[in-house]
Amino acid sequence: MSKKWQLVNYTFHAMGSPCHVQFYASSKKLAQQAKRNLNECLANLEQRYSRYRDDSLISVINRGAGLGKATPIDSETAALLVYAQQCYQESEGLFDVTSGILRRIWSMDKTTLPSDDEINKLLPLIGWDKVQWTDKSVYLPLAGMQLDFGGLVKEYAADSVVQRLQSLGVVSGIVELGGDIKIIGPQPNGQGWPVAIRDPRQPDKVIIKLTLASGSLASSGDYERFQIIDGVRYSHLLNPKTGKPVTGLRAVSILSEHCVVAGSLATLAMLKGDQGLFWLQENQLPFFCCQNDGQIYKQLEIN
Amino acid sequence: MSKKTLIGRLSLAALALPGVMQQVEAGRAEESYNTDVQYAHYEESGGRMKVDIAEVSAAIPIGKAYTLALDFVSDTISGASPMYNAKNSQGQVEQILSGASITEQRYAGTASLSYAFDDVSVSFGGGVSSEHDYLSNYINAGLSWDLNKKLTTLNFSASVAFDEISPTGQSYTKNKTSQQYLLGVTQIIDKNSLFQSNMTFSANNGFLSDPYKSVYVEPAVGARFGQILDDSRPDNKFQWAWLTRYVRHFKALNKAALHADYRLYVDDWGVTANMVELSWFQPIADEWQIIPRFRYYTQDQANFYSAVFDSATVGTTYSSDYRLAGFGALGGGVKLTKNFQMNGLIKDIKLQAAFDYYDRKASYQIGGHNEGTFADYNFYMVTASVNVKF
Repeated sequence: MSKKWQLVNYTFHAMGSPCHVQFYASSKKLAQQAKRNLNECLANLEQRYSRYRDDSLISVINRGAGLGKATPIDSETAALLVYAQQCYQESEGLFDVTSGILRRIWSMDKTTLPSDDEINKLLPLIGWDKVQWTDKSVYLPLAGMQLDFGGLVKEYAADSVVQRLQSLGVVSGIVELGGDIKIIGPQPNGQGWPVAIRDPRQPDKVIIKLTLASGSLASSGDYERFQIIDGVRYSHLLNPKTGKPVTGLRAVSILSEHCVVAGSLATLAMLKGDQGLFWLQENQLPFFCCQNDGQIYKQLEIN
Repeated sequence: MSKKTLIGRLSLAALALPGVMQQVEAGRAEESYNTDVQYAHYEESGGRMKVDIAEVSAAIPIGKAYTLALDFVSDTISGASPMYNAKNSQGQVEQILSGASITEQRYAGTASLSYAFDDVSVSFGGGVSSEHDYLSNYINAGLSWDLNKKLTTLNFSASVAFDEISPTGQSYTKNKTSQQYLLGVTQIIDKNSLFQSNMTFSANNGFLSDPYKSVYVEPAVGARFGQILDDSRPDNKFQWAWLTRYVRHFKALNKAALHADYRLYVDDWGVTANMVELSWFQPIADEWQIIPRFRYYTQDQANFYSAVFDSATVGTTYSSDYRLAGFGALGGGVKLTKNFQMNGLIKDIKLQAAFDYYDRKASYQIGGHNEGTFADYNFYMVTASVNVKF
């Protein structure tokens, strides 16, 4: 590659997380165009899928719950629902995009544990199998039900951003959105990009370094968002069947071609709780994980 | 990645996401050269016809929006073909085939340059095709326009060809000019089906006869010998063809697809033809695909066609070419393809083998006929080809 290729280093905040994108551009114009496209792509996804925005499509769907009228959806949303359905089936109901409602009682600013009564009141409102959807519309049949793509959208956004940049002609770069990584293409010298996985208990400490020339790495763990009540650490990952936080693994990272796949598999492994490690091994996933006792296991081919 | 593994199944599901699957974009995702090399052999039973085709084509991206496409073909055709018809001693019409089998070598080269705007792409091109007795030069221009979020595509194209015919064994050279215009629309109906309709208008003028065909004129009353005249057709021909295609995918049947084609053809020589073709594309496993197909064709004869002519009524235009007769044909067969995807220098290898049966009978024509069975024939065809993409 000729000298005029320059590294663009772009840090910003999106999807509720710090993000870092690096790529090589052949001109200033391309660099500007790429940043603009990237912002547009992320803004577009946030605009539709953020549950923090009242005007998002997700909020419209959730407000319509139990009101008897389905919300029309576009083909991208329909494809996400198809993907969510696949995750639900593969996980025998553990990965459920309607389980976000549990956050109401497990929110991080609470200082006491919710009672069983509180949990039992919410459980009937959870269940992907209750959702009525087609490729044109979606309807949540019970008032109070909620759809939440939180476990998918950030990872999917990484895939989408990479696709956008590639379509502009960017061939070398790395996209990191809040710890979820997707490679655009190897560095101009042919080498992969260095990627580090941190210790889930000491975020300053790197426990493994990888070089990735292609594909994605996504992680899930109790370090991302958690609460400590009476000295016990409660993960933000909640089991839709029990209504309680999962325990078993501290953190899981998965390698896969697509970030959305890596991300959903990592979340799924966390949701498997004590069975997580066995499940990762059984399915022969390329993973790196840290169990609750601090033990580290991996099944990665590291270059 | 295998569909059998968890990661494989989820990856497959993720491919339906627009941000994951590489979308067809107006610009290009990567600038890559595509080169195809293809060799095909076609053979009809009974030694009637053999064709060998070798082809090289390349698509070369230039900048962001231009693509230069080059194509070179060499084919060899050998076989015997009918020359004219005559009556035998029992008074029945028989086909007289050219004695020795003919071998024709043809070379053709084409080049075209296309430019892609956001929703419109335009192309200009030209080519040459050369045989020892035939030279054709042509130029064309095309425009393709995506509308309605790329669910609808309109196609327009125009071409002009200038041909020069110097028949073997003759001292003359004749010329022919053809213009062709195409109007087409492709409509994606839903994610599983599409509809396509193309209309083609052609105007030909000049020497449109076949210099290797003759007609037999029966002896006049009292004369001993009949006459053999060179095939003689009008100097103008206007043709109109309308092809309608419906494609439907069946996801549940391992992504099988049905292609249904109907073609109507009318020309001002009096030929009207109808064709129906059905093909079923069935992927099996490991990139094997089996394609059974069926076709029915029927046409009316040209105004100046006759199997043999009568000296009292023969006019200035006459032909006994079996292709201008009234007839019907049934065809059916099966094609097997296998793809090998690779990551190295060679990107993809495709092997194809097809076996077809073709049965042409005057009696298959819709609306009856009085031709007799002399031009009826049936044969098997085998085709094998290998295509390598770089």
